[in-house]
Amino acid sequence: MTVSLKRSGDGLTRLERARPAPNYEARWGWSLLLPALVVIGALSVVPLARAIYSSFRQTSPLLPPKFIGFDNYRAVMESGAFMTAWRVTLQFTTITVVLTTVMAMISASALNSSFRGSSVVKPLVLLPWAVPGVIAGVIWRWMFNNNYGAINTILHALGVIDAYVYWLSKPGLAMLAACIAQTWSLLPLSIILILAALQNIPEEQYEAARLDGANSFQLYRYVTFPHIRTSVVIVALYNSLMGLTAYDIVYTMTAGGPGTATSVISYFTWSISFTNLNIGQGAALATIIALVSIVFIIGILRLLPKGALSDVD
Amino acid sequence: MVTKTRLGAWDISRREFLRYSGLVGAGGLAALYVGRSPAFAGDAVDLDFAVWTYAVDEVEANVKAWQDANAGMSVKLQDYPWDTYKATMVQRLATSTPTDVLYNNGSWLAEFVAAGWVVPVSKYLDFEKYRDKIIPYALSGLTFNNEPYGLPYYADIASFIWNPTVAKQYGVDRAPTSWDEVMEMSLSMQKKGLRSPILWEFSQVNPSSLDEFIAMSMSRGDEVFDADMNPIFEDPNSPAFQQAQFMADTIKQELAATSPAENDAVRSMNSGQHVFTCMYNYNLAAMNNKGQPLAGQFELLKMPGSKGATLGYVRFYSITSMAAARGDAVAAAAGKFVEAMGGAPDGTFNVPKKWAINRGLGFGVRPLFDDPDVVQAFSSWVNVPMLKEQQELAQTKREAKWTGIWGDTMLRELSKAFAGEVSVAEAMKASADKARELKQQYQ
Repeated sequence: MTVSLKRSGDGLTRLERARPAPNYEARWGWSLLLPALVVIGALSVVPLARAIYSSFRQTSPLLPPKFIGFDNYRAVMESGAFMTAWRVTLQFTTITVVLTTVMAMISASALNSSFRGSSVVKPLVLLPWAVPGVIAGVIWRWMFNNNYGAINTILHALGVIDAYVYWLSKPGLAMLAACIAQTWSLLPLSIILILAALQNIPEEQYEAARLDGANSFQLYRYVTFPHIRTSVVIVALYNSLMGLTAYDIVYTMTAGGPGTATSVISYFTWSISFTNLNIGQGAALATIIALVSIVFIIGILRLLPKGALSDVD
Repeated sequence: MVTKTRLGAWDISRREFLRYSGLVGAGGLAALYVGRSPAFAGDAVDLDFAVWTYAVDEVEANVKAWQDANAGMSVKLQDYPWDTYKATMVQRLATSTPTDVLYNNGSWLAEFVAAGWVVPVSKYLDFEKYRDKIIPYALSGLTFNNEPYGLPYYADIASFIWNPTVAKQYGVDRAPTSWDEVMEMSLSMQKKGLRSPILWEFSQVNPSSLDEFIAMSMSRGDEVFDADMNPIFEDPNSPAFQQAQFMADTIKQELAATSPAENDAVRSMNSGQHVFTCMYNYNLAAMNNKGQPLAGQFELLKMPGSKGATLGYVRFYSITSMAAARGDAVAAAAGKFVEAMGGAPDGTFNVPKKWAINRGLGFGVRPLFDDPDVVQAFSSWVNVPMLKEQQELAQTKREAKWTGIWGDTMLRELSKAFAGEVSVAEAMKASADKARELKQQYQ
């Protein structure tokens, strides 16, 4: 599109948009994009619109469909489980985000240095990433088993515990166990992202800082951290979303118990929709989760210091 | 400008490539559609068969044998975890994901019939020739509104199991005959160093947990609903309330530990750290399996309650309305497949017999009770006369189209009571309120 300045009859200068010339390149570009847009529309936009539509209707295979306004939202929010599940979800998300981010920074720093066997260790770090959530949940459930779990066996052999701990039967310990499993699962990607940022830091900056007398802490604070800050923020955001929508690992490990100790919000979407056969209420809860996730992420981004994401802007 | 770029070694233009790609894609979609379109007599038929994950290798072998014996028939098997099986089936059936034959459960039958997802099998196989051969609680479990909705995959009971060898090590040398004795013996063994003599297979997402709870309530005298489907478990004197209180007390006193799934529970029992449990009976076969550390130590006991009753249940092969809608040939093939899996097309119940011998699964058909191979196989892991005695006392639970939904609430409330978040009375009231709400909504 071209824009030109033109002298008008009354002597004023005005902006005039020239009629766009036929642009073959733009049309070709759109036609190349079209298949992707159709697929995204069919697989994302349409289901999303359908879910929002269902959230305002009585949708159940056992009941006649009808428009019921905000009744589904009201029913979900008035349910006693709703606030409990949000509390548990936020607790779970906070613990896993902090644990994962801190451990990823430490692990990435360790892996960034050369050491004997580093070429073997680096690929091994990726292994948990390749394990599906349900399988990871089963593995960790066995690891934390009261009677034959490896965790109890190791701690007992080391003399840390006198009697086997009932990890998954006590509310606090079950939450801790679920957080450890989730952290284990999220750690590889987090490490890779931060490691990639670490490997891009010019060595000259460290040399210059050392010449200026910087100690190890100052090197990390003033040279390393500014370079990995963007990656750390992305890692924290990604892990927050994973925590808010966590389901597979938690439910395979603890089934939300004992009691409601690990009952995260995603379970209720599934449970309301497919166990209670109330797809309308499930859609309402899914919509609420999506909105809360968006608000949560915008909130985090706003809280960040200006320029924290400058590298990716 | 017309793009004339040629694509590598293939001498075609980009536009030609896109056109051919589109044709290939459309052809693929058409092939998929044709693959699910109605079949006609004489056509090859493909069936989609959904099962929960249990001994999938044996299921595959049974399917292969049927395919080999029926030229032109093919079966695509898909398995899903037991904990999420019902929800997965709801998703598949509600979204018309191709499913022709599936494992079904008496607890969900009313819902699935009300939703129009399964069809009576009598139209597709001669059910009357099996009616008298199916044991009463199995027949009751697969029947809704006087229509049969399948043939049994297996039928079993929930059993009270104990390990007398470990019990003896902690000073208990006889079997309990009441729930009070179970409590006394457990306290006694705990004092002597056995931390948690009882193991409950319990999780709020495991449907077996609810069946086992109801089985133990039945042993005390009754289940959870009356004949009009009104909840009767709010009353502190009701069997279900007393059983819930009993379980909560044992967990609170650490007399009992919980295990979320049956595989874990079988292994935990084999750790020698528990004496009593209540599980589906076939788990006794797994506990006494030669590969287990304490194989041979576990025994079936009569349910300790005053009535000694237990839950009898059936899992069965159902034909979906999707299969029926695909035409006579598909429906007939589905009927033939179901009969091969659960019936006796050539006069013998081959597949149920294999399950009984290889896995210890209970059977829903009378002829197998007298089959010498089955009796011999069962004798290796269970006291057969005791099993027969307990089976005589088995009864089905009452179901309505909303009881599957209610079960989810009941398990969640029991889970809260067992964790000490609410009292048993509060949990029972919340669950009874939900039952009344659902009854009003759906009936």
